[in-house]
Amino acid sequence: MLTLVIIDDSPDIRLLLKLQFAASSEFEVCGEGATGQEAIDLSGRLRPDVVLLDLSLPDMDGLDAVPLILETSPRTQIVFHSGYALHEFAERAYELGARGCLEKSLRDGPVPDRLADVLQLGSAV
Amino acid sequence: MNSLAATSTAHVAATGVAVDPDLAAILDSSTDATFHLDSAGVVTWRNRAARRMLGRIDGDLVGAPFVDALHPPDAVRFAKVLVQAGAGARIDDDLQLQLRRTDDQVVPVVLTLAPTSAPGEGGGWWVVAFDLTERRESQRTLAESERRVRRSEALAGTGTFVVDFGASMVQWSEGMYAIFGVDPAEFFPSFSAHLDLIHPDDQDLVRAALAEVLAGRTPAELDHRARHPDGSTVWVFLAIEPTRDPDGRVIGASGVCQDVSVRTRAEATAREALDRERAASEELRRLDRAKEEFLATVSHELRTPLTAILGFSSLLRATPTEHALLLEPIERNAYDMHQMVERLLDYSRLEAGRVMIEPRSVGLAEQVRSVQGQLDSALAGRTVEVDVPDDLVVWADPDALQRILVNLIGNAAKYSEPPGIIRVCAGPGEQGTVVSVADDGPGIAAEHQSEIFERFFRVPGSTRAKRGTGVGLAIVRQYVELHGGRVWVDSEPGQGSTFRFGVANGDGR
Repeated sequence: MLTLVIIDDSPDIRLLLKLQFAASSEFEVCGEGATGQEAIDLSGRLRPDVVLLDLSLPDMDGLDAVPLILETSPRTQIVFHSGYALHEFAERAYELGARGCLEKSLRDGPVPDRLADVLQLGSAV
Repeated sequence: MNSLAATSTAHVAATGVAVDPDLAAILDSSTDATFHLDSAGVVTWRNRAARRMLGRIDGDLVGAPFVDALHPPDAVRFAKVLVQAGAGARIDDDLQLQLRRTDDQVVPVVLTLAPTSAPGEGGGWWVVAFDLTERRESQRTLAESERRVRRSEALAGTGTFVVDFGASMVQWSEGMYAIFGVDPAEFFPSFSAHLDLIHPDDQDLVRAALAEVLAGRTPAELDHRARHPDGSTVWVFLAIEPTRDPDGRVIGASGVCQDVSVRTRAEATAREALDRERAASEELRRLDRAKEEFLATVSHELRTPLTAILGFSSLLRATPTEHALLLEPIERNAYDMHQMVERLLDYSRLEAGRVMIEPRSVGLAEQVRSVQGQLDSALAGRTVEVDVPDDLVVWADPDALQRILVNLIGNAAKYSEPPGIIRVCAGPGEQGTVVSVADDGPGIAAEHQSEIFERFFRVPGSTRAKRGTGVGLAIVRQYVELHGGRVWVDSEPGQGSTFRFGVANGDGR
């Protein structure tokens, strides 16, 4: 089980994600927050395997949080989960060290499955 | 007497006055007609040129009064002159008369009259006649040419001028007065007077150009404004170049002016129109960008709450609940809204040119099945007949192909009422394979068939107020075109619609 921190300024989305991940056998939610600063603090304190990070946060741009999170927890894998279209930010996110990007869309299936895909869990890599 | 014999005795005057043979030879070689008259005005001798000028055969005039050779109205005048000259009066040295030829044609001449000896001593007269025909012709030609120049100047609104430093003189053609609106009778052209007519704001410009020209550096061309005495302003094109003496020194200048007000006004009007058009189109582009940004922002702002609604309702559905009946419409409506938002996002991505497709071999039947699954609730109550071979492989970006099919099949569902039939077929055609999606809905009038692929276009007066964003078919077209294909529709009102698009075959087939 990978430990997961959820960062999203919408409490509803956080609750939804927590409920979805509760049924997952691959992830265990160990913390949640609404701001970039909380993302950095939680990462430093909990050293999660994965941070699922919203792009637009009240105190900073999610992209700006990436290097700060990695500074406090270098082994944490950061995956964006955003209402923005991938082409608008994915390239920059990867440059900064993010591991993956997910759009807030139902088109591609439930978030836990997609997160597992992005992290290539269960694959031979 | 034949003419040859007459020539040999020509120098013997009829009255017995002999003309020296050497003198006669010299005078015969002249092109001016020369006559010798006795004191009574009778011709005693004439040279060859005289004979030619009068067209007379030899002997006709010798022995006859000179006035016989004159055009009758001039005969009396000449007789008077001769009498006065005989009396010692001053002889007019520019006596213009007309000779009468034997064929009755008249020859304009200027006569020079000189006594052969002191007046009053019974001597005769030498009369030399210079034929003015050519000079008159030249004058006429010159006058005609000047008239033409004036006419051309008037037509073209041009004028010419010459500046002569040495003589401190400025010459203007008639056209110049017209251009500058001054009266030739009152205006005396000079360098400073010319400058005074130029608009104050343009005087420095003209002075600078003139300085360049007068320094011999370069000819100049420029447009300047001129003030008419009546207060109006005209635009004048000025071209001026230096004139030089044989040593290359600048001794003046010559130039052309043209009233270009009409042209300048037309250019200004055209320029203003172009500027207005540019501004308008820039404004349209700005609004278009603002709209795209707005669309994109709204779309992803809508995604978050929709994700929450759909996520929770899907969790709720997995939980046994007595409110399942109430849950279904919430979920269905949220899903419709989700589709619209996805379409808008798709559209804004395509419009921004940010969509890159990665075509590969894709099984078409499988894609159609997947789309049917996605559209499950939208297709409720309709029958979908699929006639796509399971082994048909096309060359397409799978994601883009899904968007094309979702939009076309979703559209077919939207416009057909249960229990409608939607047919999805594929067969050989342009590009390799043609895919068609047919519905039995209301159809589209011919005049709207080309417009339905435009963004935000809704068929006017449509009796079925269908929800939607108006971008579905625009998205289809863009995706199809990204694959190098085209999409078109066959439809008749009341007969349903069939949308078709071409796509290449996969696996090199």
